[in-house]
Amino acid sequence: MLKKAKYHSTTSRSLEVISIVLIITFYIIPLIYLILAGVFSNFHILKWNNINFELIFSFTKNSKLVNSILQSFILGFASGIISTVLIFILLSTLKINNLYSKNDNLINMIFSFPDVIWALGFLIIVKSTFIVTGFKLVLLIHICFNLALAYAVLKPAFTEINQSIVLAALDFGANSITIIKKIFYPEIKFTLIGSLILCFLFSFDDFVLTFMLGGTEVQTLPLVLYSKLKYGASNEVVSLAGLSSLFAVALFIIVVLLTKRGGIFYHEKI
Amino acid sequence: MNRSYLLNISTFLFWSLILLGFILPLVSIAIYVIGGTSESFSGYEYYINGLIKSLSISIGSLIILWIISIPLILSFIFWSPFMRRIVIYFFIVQLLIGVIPKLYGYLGAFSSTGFYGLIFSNVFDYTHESPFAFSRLGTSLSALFIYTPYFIIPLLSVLSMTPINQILASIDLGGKKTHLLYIIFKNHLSNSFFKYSFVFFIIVFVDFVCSDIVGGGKFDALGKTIYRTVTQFQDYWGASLVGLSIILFILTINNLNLIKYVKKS
Repeated sequence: MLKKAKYHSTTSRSLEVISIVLIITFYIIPLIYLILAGVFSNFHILKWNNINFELIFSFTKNSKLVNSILQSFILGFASGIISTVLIFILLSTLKINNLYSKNDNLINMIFSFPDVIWALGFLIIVKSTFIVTGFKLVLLIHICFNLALAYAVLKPAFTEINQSIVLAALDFGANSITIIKKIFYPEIKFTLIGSLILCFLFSFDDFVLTFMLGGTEVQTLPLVLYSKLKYGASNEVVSLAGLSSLFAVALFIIVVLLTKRGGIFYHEKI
Repeated sequence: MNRSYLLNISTFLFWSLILLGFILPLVSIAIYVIGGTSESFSGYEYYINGLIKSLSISIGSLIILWIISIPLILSFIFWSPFMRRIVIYFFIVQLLIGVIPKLYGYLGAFSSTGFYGLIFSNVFDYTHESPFAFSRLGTSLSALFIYTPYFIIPLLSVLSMTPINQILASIDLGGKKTHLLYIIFKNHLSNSFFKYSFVFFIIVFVDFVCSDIVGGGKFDALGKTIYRTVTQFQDYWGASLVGLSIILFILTINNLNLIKYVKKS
């Protein structure tokens, strides 16, 4: 087991302290505020008897907030499932036919451009054609974006699978469905779940694309939080923002646990 | 099921969605600039103001990012694998939390009614408005808070692949730390450092949310400029012109990287 380096001079100790202080100031304190403001009715008075559990779930009484959460969930699950399944089938058939490409320039290019540029392009398409803004357009665009994300997550997993196993299965007369069910799916099922979770979170939390292309029909959670933030956020909205952050953290912990069982970042070689 | 049938269907679907989702918007912007009309053009001054504000925010954020991240990177090299993983996971969690909830957290921490006000007004009796919120500095800092993971995660991932026992061995053999850090930077980090600095710069440059909320209603950075010209002024041509300029800028820088990579290989 590796031991921590004992070779720290004063300079490197100072660097460590500076980096930790800066990280805490800029990155941890805002997250702490989110949690405290969501749990305590008045975070200026941090006492145990000031924890307001009614406040934490008070958003459930507001039908607009509940509808926005439902819309976000539907958008996230639908786009995540469709894109993950499509990429899984695509990569499976490419692997079976031994048509793997090492060139990912197109996918890397997609991640280079900011959301506003994509949204502008779609607005021009909407203006010039019969397509209207709304939930279906937002869902279609999220599926397209999640394709790139699912591809980036699943491709390394497929690369780890030994091609000889696939060739042997083909030699023994297995068809595509059998190979996908018996070889690919058991090997990368945790990666699939991880990819689904990441695609879900991307769609759940997306703001720019949904805001610019959703029209009046789409009111997902980020959009409602944005409008409340601009014109004054009540305690229940702040607690909802804190809860959505904790939700993302919880999903990430699930992904990490899946990783430990042989998921995204670790694969046992056959 | 026939192999080629499944392959054809899935490939067709994939490329159709890629074409629809990515190629078509970019091509639409380019075509609109060339073939569209500029009847409601807002004038270059509005765009230039937005460009200057965006540049000031993005350069400011980038400089502060370098100041914060360099001590972290330098000390990260000497941390154990467990600590390295914790730090990377922390920033991945930051990436997964949505932009709007994070802005709630930022304003709660740094605005006059949040932690900042709690400390400065109650403890030090300082009642002026917080300089870290609803200002240009606040916009830079909020963009830094939200978009740092896009820069730091790839760098730390590259660094985490440098095996710590080799580093300890080189120090054991009498190697100087400064020389060691220089070698690590030159061999592992130099390309990634500037590449992901550029990624961070572009994201903040075209940012819409931070400048809108933290900057205030009248602070029109480039992202908000594009949004307003399309939705309020109906000036699609002007917005497309700005969009196409940004696309060409990104493609040029990416291709320079690609040329450098091809020459090296």
